Amino acid sequence: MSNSISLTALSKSYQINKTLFHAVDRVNLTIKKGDFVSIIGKSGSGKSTLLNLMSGIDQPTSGQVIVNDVDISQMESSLLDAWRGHNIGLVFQFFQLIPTLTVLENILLAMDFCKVIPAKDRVNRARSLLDKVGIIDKADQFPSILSGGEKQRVAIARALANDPPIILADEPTGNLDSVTAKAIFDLFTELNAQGKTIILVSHDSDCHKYSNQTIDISDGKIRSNIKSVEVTHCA
Amino acid sequence: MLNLFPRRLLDRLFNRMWIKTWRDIWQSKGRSALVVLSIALSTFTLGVILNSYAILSREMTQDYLRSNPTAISFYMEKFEKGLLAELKQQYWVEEVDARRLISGEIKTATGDWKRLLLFVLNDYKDIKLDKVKSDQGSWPPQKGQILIERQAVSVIGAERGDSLQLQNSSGLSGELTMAGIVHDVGLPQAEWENVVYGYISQESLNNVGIENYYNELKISLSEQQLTLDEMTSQAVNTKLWLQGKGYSVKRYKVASPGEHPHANITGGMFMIQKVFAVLCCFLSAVLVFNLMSAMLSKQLRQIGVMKAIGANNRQISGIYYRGVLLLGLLGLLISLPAAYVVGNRYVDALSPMMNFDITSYQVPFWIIALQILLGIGIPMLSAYLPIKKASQMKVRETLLEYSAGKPVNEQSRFERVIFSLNFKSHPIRLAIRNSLRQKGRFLLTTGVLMIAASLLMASFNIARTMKEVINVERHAKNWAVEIKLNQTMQEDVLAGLFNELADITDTESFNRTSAAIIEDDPDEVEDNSKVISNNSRYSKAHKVSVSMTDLKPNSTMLNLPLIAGKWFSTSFPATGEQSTEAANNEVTNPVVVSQLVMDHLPYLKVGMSLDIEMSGQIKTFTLLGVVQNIGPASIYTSGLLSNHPSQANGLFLSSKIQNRAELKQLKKRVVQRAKENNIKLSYTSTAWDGAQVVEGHFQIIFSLMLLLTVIIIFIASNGIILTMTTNIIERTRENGILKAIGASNQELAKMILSEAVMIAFFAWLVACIVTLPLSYGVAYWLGELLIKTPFALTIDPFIFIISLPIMMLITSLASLIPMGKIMKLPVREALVYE
Repeated sequence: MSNSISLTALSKSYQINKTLFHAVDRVNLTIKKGDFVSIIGKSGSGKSTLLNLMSGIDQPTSGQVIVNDVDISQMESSLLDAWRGHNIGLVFQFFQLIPTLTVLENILLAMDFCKVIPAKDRVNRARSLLDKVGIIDKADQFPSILSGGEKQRVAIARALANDPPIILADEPTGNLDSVTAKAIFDLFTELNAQGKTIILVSHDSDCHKYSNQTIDISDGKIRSNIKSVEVTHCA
Repeated sequence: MLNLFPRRLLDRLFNRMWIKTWRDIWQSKGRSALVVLSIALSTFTLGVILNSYAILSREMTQDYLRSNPTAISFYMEKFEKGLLAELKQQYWVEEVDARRLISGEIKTATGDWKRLLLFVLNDYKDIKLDKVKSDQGSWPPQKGQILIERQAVSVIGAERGDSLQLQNSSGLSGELTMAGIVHDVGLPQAEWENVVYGYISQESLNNVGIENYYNELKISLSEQQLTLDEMTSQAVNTKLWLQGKGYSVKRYKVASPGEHPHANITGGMFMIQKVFAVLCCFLSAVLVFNLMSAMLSKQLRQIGVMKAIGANNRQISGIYYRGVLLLGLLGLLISLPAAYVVGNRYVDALSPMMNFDITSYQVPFWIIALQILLGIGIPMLSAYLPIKKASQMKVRETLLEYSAGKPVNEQSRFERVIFSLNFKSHPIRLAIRNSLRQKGRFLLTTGVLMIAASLLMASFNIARTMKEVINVERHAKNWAVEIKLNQTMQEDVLAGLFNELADITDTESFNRTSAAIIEDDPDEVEDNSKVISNNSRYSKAHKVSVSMTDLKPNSTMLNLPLIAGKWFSTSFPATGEQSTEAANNEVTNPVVVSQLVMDHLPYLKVGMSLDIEMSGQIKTFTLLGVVQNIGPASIYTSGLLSNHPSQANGLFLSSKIQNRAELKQLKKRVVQRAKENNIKLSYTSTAWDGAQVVEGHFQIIFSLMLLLTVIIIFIASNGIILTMTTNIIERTRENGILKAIGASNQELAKMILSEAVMIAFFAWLVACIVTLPLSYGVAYWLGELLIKTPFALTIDPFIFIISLPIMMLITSLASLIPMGKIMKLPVREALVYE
């Protein structure tokens, strides 16, 4: 199996009041295609920064980020946004849906931006994605009237809109109750089973149960990288 | 439907970016409506001005050209009809025509005498040049009839069938019946000039005691498309040809090719409106800039998210440019038809004032295209910077930048000074800091309000200046009533007749005659831009026609404002070293001229000698000074004109009466006394008459300035509402926190009002400074336009004081809507507001 993401000596530092703060400190990591990776750690450990570096949202201070054989650490910001739309599906803790667009339109917007899906197929695909995440009945509703779980399902459907091979999720269950959180994790598992590379950041200790690789990060450094052959699906 | 339009096109038309754009606008519909209104108002103002200017300038020129205007007019001593046929045979002449021009006075319905220019046309049925057309009543004028130019009807206040009395000092005397109204497009506006234009037949000349001959020769040239210089050389050739035939040519005038003689004055009138229209556009641009900055700062997170899911900079920019485009189009949707309708009504109102007929209201395509271009282009351009800045932000920046409580950055020196002010009230201190948090927005909002405040102050300063000009004009005359006789009289006899009249305190005689200043180069020809007197068409020449008044030595009857040089010495100097005569006699034949003379002869300098022709004699004078005098070009001498010192043809009558109505009554009694003693008066006026002529013009200008200022204040108020709404919405969460820790609605209101008042105060403070050069500039320009010399600016202190509470009231009122919203918002909702 080839590499999906490869991080080499990756560092990200910030200058705060004349003190250099290392959010990510010389991290080396390889994630294979089809992996389900959970990154865990305490608040401020650098896990979200690591995810942002993988998606190209943030630029490294040093080191290399290669995603699907493309070195995105050197890529121009304007190209990076379009590249991300094609290659990575992002899921945020606070859902980040566009409040003035309906559920269906939120998904279509991502397709409109990237133009990967032919225009004539977009509505059908968006509906099918909503069906897949179980909220087809909410297609014409505005996000403001949805529950947290429903919003996150819309966000996942949007992340899948352009059929990216990699899904990056930052605290996707951080704002959800445990039952809804489990449903979301199950959804990610299902997507992983369909071949998507899933990388999720969470401080939820249970998330490792769903992934086949768990990375524990602290002070910007990887403390442990545990790979399990079989993924446990919790009931 | 789907078959008619390609699916791709439909998808492009109704894709999610358009939907998002539309919903964003709809979500902040209040603010969007303000911007649409501002765009609409500015493009409307611009549209009305451009539409009316295009129609008026085109129609004025076309109406003028339809009259077959004269290319060159020759003012001659006397000639007969036979000259016309002979001149027409010359190869450079296309058409010829002749007229008799007589100047005099005509009695109005109220009994006053008004200036009259009487025309006797060669053939009313076949007017070749400067065609006059019938508007109402008889045509052509029959024996004993007079036709009045349509704009002069209101000046004379007469109706068809009235008997009108005419007179002048050269023998014009008699009564003619007003039989009709005519339209003469090429003449200066009678109402503005306060002159009456009359048309009579050659047969009627006998009725008014005038010999029949022509004195004005008009020609058009066979070669078209000539420049002014080429036409001038043709004028010189024709003059030489006429002189070769033995005719005496007093002066000639060359018309600017294809241009109404007063096109420049009309252009000047539109200038002030154009400046205001540009200001309106600028202010609406600032509003769009503010709106877009505010809207984009609120949308930063959304921009970040859209970029995170694959949007590029162009797509992000596209969403917001679409928004600006929609707002611009909505603004245009309102302003284009409104500007067309109001523009036409404006044209209807102005065309009678300018005395020409409108045959088409068609607006040139380029005007509409320009309105569309500006209606869309200005908002697009003003949104360029905020959109560029937001769309180029990186995802991480946009996601992190978005927060209700943006930290206060490092303080500038100005902020440190402001923050160091020891306000006891913490809410006020917080309000001051809040208003300076978005410095760019604060500066723009204050700037917009400052412009409005400056204009408001300038309008009232100009009104005060105009009032002062009228006041100076009134007090420049130490007499109450002035009479001019048809003949000269023994001055003591003349004075004795009026001295005993009730309310008359003193009299002083003078001599007045028409004269001409001879320019250095007798062949130098004026063009239409040089206006020597209110009646430009008939007094422009290389001999400058002026009214010459010879005052008594030591006369104190005139107190005209001095522009340059000095007035005649009126008393012995304090040291007693020189006598009055000695002081005046420092120069040979001293003469003082009015500013209109200087406008025509700008090369004149105090101390220079000038040749003046009067009663067929040329005498050399030395220029002693230049004075400001509203009225025709005038020159003044002291004890020089009359060969018989005891003779006079005019009298100043002093009185303690100041009131206009009482002065009018006094004038009537003076006229009556003259009649009782068989004294024929050619002219009578009160000290207020000159001021009254300009007062109406000033009132129109002030009203126009005030109207345009109100429009700008309205746009500025929109800006304040927009800024205050944006400021308050951005701080919703902060205000929620303040409420949560115990701030009452009253405290919040105090904070918001303090912020509004502070914006008003800063705007007012800067406006107090900015308005000074602005008022000075407008006063200078208006003075040059109206009386050919800058007005001395008079400041109105009251408007400086009153404009502060006005500005504070505007900003406070503009804050009420957002203030009400924030007060009603529950703490819980305010704390989770995104």
